[in-house]
Amino acid sequence: MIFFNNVTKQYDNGTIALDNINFFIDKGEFVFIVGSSGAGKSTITKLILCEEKPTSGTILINGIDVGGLKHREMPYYRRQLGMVFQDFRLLPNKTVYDNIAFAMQVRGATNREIRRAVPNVLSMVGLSGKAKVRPHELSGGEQQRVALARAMVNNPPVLIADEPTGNLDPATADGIMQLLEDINKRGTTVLTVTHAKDIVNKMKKRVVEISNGKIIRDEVGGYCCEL
Amino acid sequence: MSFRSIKYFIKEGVKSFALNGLMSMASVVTVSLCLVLFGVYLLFSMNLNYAASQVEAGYEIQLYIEETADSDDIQAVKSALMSIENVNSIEFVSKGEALKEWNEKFGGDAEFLEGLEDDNPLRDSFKVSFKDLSLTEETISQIEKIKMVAKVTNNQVVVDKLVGITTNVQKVSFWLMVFFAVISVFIISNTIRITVFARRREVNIMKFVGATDWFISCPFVIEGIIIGFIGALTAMLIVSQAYGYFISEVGLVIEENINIYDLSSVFWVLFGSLIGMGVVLGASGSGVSLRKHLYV
Repeated sequence: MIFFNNVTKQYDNGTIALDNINFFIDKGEFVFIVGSSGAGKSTITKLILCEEKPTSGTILINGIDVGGLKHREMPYYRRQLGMVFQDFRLLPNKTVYDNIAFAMQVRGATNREIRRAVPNVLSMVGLSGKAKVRPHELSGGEQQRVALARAMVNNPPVLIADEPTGNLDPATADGIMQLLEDINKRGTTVLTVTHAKDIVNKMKKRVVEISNGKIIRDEVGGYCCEL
Repeated sequence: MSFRSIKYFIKEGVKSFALNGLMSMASVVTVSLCLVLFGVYLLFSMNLNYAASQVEAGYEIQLYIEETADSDDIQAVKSALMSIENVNSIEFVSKGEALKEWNEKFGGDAEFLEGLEDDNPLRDSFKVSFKDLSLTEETISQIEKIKMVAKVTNNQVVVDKLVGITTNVQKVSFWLMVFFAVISVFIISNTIRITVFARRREVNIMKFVGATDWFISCPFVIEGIIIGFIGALTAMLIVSQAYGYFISEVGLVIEENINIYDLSSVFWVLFGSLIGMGVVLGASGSGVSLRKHLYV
């Protein structure tokens, strides 16, 4: 599903963010990528999202060679990924419903498909009553739920969550992680990049730890790194 | 492309046009300035071609015959003329008729023509028109070789001068137009750049949910087109008013010799060209900007 094969990323300023990284994530797995700031976690997300190209090595996502994608192929590739970010990235001038519908509209979905899918996904994240509300009227946890709903509305095979609980209090964060686990149980591969120790310890999933651009630990277990 | 998308594109385009108030206005003004010049250029060209076709259609030379010629000589000249390939029509003007023409031309002021009936100083002549005007010079030199032909008058010089002046005006207005077109594209692209910047968050989100470049840029292109369209309407208003004034004030003077188009017969050509040009300018302006600031 997600395969990093000898991936090295060196930025133009000479910084080596990732140094010969190898890992494989199977379909349906739930994986944490952990590490301190500057360890190279966000470079991994950037490479998966195709915001950056690897300096060497190959990245295969769902059978697609991400490094070799042409500019015009990227949108179609990105439609296979659901994405959630620390800062939610919702459109402030659109309602919750429209924010989610937008992700479908962009892909050319019909009105009928949108009307069917949006309420479904809203009830999945427990926000059925908030369809007509604007993001700023919601709590942080609710906003992240909307973002999750948007990420999942097109049923992507892979969900990438970049610090999904970074802006949330512990109780709310637990709720979001529970939701990610539910999504994972439905068959979606979930990759969560985080440095939230408590959450990683609680979930007891596979943990890939990165330090100075190298993988220093890759095992299923409850504990997190020394952050 | 669904109806929902089209509605979305137009709504977003209109919205950011309105939000960008001052910049949008500046762009509209430059576009309309450019299009006013384009309109002037267009009207000039159309009327020049029209005038040229009139001049060509009525173009003829006049050849005068030696005073000593008798009617046999005149007949000989006539048949010689008819044998020239490029000659289209021949009209004989006797010196009596020529004098009458003069009398008509100068009307009551023609005191200096009095008493000439008995001793007519004018000469018999032929008015000759040609089939192919590009061969004018060669044909004239052929005619000059005919016996008893005294002189050939040719208003080619006047025509050349007229055409020369108007083509110069045409050239200047063309280059001014190009200059303003470049400026328009530049200013529109700047306006669109501001919009793109103001909405970079949104653009970013669109990219992450898998929007194609085309989908992302459509609203911006529409904003550019709106600028071009409004600029074109403004320019149309200015040019049509100015042309109407021109016809009513100056047109009369010209019209005695050459007809020019009235407003109603050029209105739709002008309207279509200005709108088309405005839309092209607007779209290319936003295109320039999008290429620079969107596709990273």
